Amino acid sequence: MVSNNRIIEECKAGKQSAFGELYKLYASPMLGVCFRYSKNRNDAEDILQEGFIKVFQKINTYNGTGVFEGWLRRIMVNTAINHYKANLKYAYQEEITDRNNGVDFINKSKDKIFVEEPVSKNQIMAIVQKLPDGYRMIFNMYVLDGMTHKEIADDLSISVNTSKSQLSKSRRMLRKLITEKYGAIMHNII
Amino acid sequence: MKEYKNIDELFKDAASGFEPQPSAKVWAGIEEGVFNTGKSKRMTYVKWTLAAMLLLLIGVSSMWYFNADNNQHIAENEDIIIETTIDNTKTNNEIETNILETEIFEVSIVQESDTEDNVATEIIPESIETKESIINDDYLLIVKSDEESEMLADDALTIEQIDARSIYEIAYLNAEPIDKQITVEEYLKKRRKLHTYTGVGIKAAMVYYPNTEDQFTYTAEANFGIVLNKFYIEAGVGYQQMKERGVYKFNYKSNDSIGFYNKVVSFEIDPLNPDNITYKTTETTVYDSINHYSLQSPLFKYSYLNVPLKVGYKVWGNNKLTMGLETGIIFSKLISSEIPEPSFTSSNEQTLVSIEDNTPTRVDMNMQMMVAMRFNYKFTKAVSLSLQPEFTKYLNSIYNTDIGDPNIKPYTMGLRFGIYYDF
Repeated sequence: MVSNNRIIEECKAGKQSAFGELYKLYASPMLGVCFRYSKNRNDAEDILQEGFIKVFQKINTYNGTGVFEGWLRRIMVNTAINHYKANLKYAYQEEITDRNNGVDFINKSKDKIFVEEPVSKNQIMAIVQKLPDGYRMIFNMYVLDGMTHKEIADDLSISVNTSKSQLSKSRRMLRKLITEKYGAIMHNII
Repeated sequence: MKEYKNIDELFKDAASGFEPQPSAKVWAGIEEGVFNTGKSKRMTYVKWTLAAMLLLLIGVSSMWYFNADNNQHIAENEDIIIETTIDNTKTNNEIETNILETEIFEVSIVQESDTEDNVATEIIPESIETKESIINDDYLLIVKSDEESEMLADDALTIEQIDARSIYEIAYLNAEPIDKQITVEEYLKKRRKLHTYTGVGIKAAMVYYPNTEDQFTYTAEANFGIVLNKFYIEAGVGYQQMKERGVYKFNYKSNDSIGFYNKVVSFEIDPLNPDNITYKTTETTVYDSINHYSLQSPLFKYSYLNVPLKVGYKVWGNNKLTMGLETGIIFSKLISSEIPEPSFTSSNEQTLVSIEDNTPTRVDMNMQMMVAMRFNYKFTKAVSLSLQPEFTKYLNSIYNTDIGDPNIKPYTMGLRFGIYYDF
């Protein structure tokens, strides 16, 4: 972390090479974050680029309290949220109209899942990318980035109840998508 | 076999340590964004301006190069005198060739008095043999005997002599040979004359909207043009169809599950250990009426009547193929719009509250600036085909900014195919 602090200080001082070092250090893990918030790799790289530009422009506001990676991650998530909001007006119809047909799968989120053969992280993340934009945002924010429904509701300008119901639907959809793709090697999904 | 506590754990596990490698373009974009702060938008315009300037520079350089090449040949050959002895010639004809412009020769014929060695002296470029090999036997210089000399004195040349002068033109200036007998005066007049052409074309291009999905556009056009030497001006009328993703927003309500609770159905107390109570529960889902919205983006179609006005310059060419650069303005008027009806598919549990059309409104009149390269292939003397990579940029917003719609000036890149007839 000492070398991290050195790089951050040099970035604050405007040293160009330090920006490059910081990017090399964090570009991959941050692309991982952007990837799961995006539909595809291109969008993820756009968010990563925009996020890093913000990081470099606002690095002086990082006061050293808290883990730097956490600060960085929050900027990427915020950038992804802004990206989502900006594209909302021109998004395609994506609201899922299939109802739960009288079967509620919420309780299944507490069930164990058994995976017989290893499935790559890439393949699992590709399933998250298949979620409709709204579901994907909420699933990521709540489950993978540990935000509360109140925080999600504030960030996405929706109600807490909507956040909860969307999360529930996203889980249901993920189960469906996993079953379709990996039903043979993953058990107890539905 | 790997075991996950629940579905969340499966994805948390996949997300931790998921570190794909970004492509090089990301860092390039960051460098531009950080070290040229605030310039990225301007950069787009600068980039296009530079591209247009580069295109212009290539055009002007090519023009200079080909003209310089011609001038050099002509300059080198201007003073070369070849003496040819012709047996039956009793007079000497000295034909002086002066260059007025790069393309046009002024020919004057001076009839001299008798000489002893019967020599005809002409000023022609280099050796005639070289020209023969470039052209063919039809274009040999033939000096006429006495009878024709009288005609020469009247400033009229026979076809053979005119064609001989065509050697210079064809070898250096890529002009077409003359195929009938005309006087020098007529010949020069013809060379200077304007000629006209007409044609039809179709264009397929991609419209790059900064605010929404890019779409193809198609144009059919009829044109009329006037050529003066290497310059041409062209006007036309065309029909253009543009597409754009519209936005309908459906606001609806539905009863959705907002969570669950465990309802105690019964319980049992262990008689041996009264503190140990076993509860039997069922999970009950809680529903509530929640506002939703969904978006639909059907394709909107717009038809325009176009009037293009262009000027062009022929940069390079030979008998078959020519390359030109052109620029101009395309005026277009919106003549019709095809707007699909919003279609909301609802289930019994959903109640539609309202439908909003968030598609920006198009303005009636547009102006586009166009820059293009034109490659022409001549099939016959009159008919040619053209292929034209074309770039256009809207000079005004295609949306009505007066009512609060965004100021959007898209650009297009495409290919135009045309067939032309020269009169």
